[in-house]
Amino acid sequence: MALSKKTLKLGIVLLVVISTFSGVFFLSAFFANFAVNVQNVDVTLGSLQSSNSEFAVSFDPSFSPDVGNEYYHIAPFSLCNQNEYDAYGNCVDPVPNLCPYLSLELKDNEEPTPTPDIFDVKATGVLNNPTDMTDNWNLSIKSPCFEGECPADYDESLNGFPLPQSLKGATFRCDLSVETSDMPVQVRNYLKQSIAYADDGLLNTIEVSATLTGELPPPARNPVLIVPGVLGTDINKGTEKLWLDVLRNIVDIGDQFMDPLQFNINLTPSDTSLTIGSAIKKIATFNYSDGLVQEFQNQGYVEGTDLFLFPYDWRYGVSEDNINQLKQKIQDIKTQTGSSKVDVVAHSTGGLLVKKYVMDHFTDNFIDKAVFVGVPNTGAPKAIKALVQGDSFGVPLLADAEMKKIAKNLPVVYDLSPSQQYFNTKGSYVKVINQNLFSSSSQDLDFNQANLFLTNDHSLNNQALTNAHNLHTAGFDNYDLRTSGVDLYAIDGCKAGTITKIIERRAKDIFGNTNITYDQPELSPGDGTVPMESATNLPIDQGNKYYALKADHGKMMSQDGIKEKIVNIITGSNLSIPVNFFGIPIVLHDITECKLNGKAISVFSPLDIDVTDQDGNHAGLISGGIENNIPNASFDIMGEHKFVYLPDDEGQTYTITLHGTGNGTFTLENSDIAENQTTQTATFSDIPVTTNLKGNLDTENLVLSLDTNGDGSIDETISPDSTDLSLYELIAQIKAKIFTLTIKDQLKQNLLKRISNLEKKIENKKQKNAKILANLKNKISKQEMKGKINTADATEIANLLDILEAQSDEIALDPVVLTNLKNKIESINIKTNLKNDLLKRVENLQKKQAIVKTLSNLSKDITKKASKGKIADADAQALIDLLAQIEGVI
Amino acid sequence: METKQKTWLWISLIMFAMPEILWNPIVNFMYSLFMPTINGSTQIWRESFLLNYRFDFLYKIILLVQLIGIVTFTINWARTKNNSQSRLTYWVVLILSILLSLLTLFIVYLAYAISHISFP
Repeated sequence: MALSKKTLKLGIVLLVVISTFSGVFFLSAFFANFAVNVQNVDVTLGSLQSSNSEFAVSFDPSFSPDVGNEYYHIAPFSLCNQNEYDAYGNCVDPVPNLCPYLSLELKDNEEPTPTPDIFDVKATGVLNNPTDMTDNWNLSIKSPCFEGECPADYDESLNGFPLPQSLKGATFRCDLSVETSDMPVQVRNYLKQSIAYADDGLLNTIEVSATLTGELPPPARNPVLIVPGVLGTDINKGTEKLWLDVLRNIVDIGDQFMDPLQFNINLTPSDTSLTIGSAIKKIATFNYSDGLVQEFQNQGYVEGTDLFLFPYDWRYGVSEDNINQLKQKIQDIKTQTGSSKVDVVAHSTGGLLVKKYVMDHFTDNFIDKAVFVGVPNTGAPKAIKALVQGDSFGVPLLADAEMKKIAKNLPVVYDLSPSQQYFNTKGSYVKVINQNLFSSSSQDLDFNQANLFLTNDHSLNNQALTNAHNLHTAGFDNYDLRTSGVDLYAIDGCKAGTITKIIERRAKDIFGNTNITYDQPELSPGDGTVPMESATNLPIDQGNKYYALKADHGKMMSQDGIKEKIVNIITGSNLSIPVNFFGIPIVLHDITECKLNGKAISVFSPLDIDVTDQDGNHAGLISGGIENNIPNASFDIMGEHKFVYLPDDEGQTYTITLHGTGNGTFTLENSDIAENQTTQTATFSDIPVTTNLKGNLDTENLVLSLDTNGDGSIDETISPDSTDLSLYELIAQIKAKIFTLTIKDQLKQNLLKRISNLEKKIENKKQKNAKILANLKNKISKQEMKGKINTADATEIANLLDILEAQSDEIALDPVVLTNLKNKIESINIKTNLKNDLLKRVENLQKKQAIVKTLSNLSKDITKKASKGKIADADAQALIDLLAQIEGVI
Repeated sequence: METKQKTWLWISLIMFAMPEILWNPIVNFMYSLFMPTINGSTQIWRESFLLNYRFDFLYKIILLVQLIGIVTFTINWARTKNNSQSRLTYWVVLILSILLSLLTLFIVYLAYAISHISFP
């Protein structure tokens, strides 16, 4: 109480001073406790890329007292250029903010301290002096994508909002402040204002910057783009689907709801409000591209990420607009995926679109592999059918008439009609039969006449046809995509009956009116829509050319075997290709498996073979590989062996030359193929060859002419080893002969039916023989076990039966073995009943009365028909000779 | 109703109902036709292995079995007119099964017809 005011004042001052010093000491200690090992992070990232870095937080080594636990926070803050803030404290020119994309994780297996619920604090840690002097942190950056480049499945909640394109290439920054107090907000404010503790703040701040470029490193594999064909994309009018609404096609009589799909005569759409929907994948049980998409997905592709479909307005066909859209689509895929190239699978019209796109973008097409599936390179006569008759394309209850109406002015239908090149290789595709009351005449139209047939006779669109001709120039039809850097593959159907000629019958009635009807069109091998001649009119490496034995044009992309082959080509996978009944893969290189009409030549030897057709096209070895320019021919090489297939449907003629490449012997086989079957094989075996040997093969007369010393003169002519024909070759030959006869259709069908019956009887007999042999073996075995036949005899009989069983594929069992078997049975000492039973069975093996009778009846009938003038005498004799040969063989 | 008749009724009903309960082939087909397509593919009501492209053929076979089942059931049921159940039950079940038979027949036709669509 006696304390003076002066003393009190002094005490307060002292207390303030002490307190201030204590505070300053405390604060200085507070900031001096830590040293942050700053390791600035500076990376360049593409969108959706991640980067990791590390930094450490530790006690200042100079700080020695044991203080136990010391907590700290790591808080991020973005930077402001020039530190300029508006009146509300907002940065005027902020540096692009990286903070939202940072995450922190403690390393060293240390349990992280729970992050307090304080705004913007990224993490909290705790150190202990002396037991835990350092914390190591892992800093991760995961950047978001840029607008317009995000994958379809982009999740904003996981990856952040897409960044505007304007920020592409900018440097994003975020500073992390490490503080030992629980006041990070205040610290941030200090820094914003660049006042107190700025030095400490900088000392304890980690600068993190990343430049986001938006350009991804190229992916491990190219993205895939599937380009569908005509009709392969939905077309809508507002919310109403015009194509393809199967249910509506079923219930709507006349299908006139599809009228807005039409084009005007000036090739503009009749309704400009239509919009494009999705590329069609699957409609109930119709699988268009879904099977292929799923097969790619099985290989890890993700639709929208590295697997894309290209929906387009197919009505325009190969138009500038569609090509530009394709170009844009490829560009978009490149941008999104970061890939420099795209692999393309193109079906039907899609292939024409791709071809034109590549032609127009010779150096900048960005296509690596292209797989053409059933592409009508020179058109398809089915388009003519759609124009003059209409076609529902299998859509249940879709009116042909409506499709005819729509097709009339659609550019795409004309783009698909046969081109001049098609006519040059395949010939006429329109036949007109003029039928009067008492006479009729027919005419196969040439290319110009076929055009007039469309524009004049059927009043179709002249401008669209002209545009199609302008598209299908020789340059386009024969364009070699390989010259533009495209690794081209093709899968074409080769066994399905395909329209190759429309037959229009114009019948005049008694009043002079002309009724137009259409006969069954002519068919030839293809995929059901595109004839082989059109699909294979594509310059391509032989090793990249595949034939599908079971192809249905509209579903080819998703058909078993084809989809696996496409995926194998694109991804390099090794999916197995299904095999047919005979164990042959249903998609293969070997065109001979298509079994067309022609010649298959195999050379087994150190011998090269060169083929030139009547037009000078060449197939054979050239420096650097195989050349094959002969339409529909194939040339394959396996080691020293060469396999050539030469079609002769169109009466083609070939010059075949040979020259030796080594010393030894060679064997050459020449097989005639007619109507899908080998009718005859001639073999020239074990012929000596030297490097001087030259020669040629005459496939008509089956003569091999050889110049053995290479002096230019033929030294020897060689005939084939043997021309004995097998039963099956003879049957195939007689069928082929009947096919070529100029007789009434009904008679032709009747003869073919009887040959089929003969084949059935032969097959039945073979099966019966196999059964008899099996039963006989059982019987002998049982009798032996019962002791009724001794083991030695039983073994001998069993051996003979084994020989016969080995021949059971042939109807004619070896007569010597049969006689031996009979003699053996007669010689053994067994009961008479048993002996007679066994002998009867053997006799049954020899019986062929049914077949012989069939052959005999057939011969008699042919003779009768010849006597009535229904079959030409020479033809009848040839058939009878063949039947006699068959009888001889069996 | 004789035991034999009953047995056949049950067998035919199971031929129809069991696949439907397990995989909904008919309901899925109807749903896919009536609902709009999404991303180029028709929608399905309930996921089933039968809808995988690898099992297209099996799908059609099962639809055919269902058709045989429901038609057999209808024929067998029609033959039970003089049995003990009430006239109302008889006619209601008969009409329903005839309708179901027609629906199944229609779907079998569509399943086969649609699978033959072939774009040029």
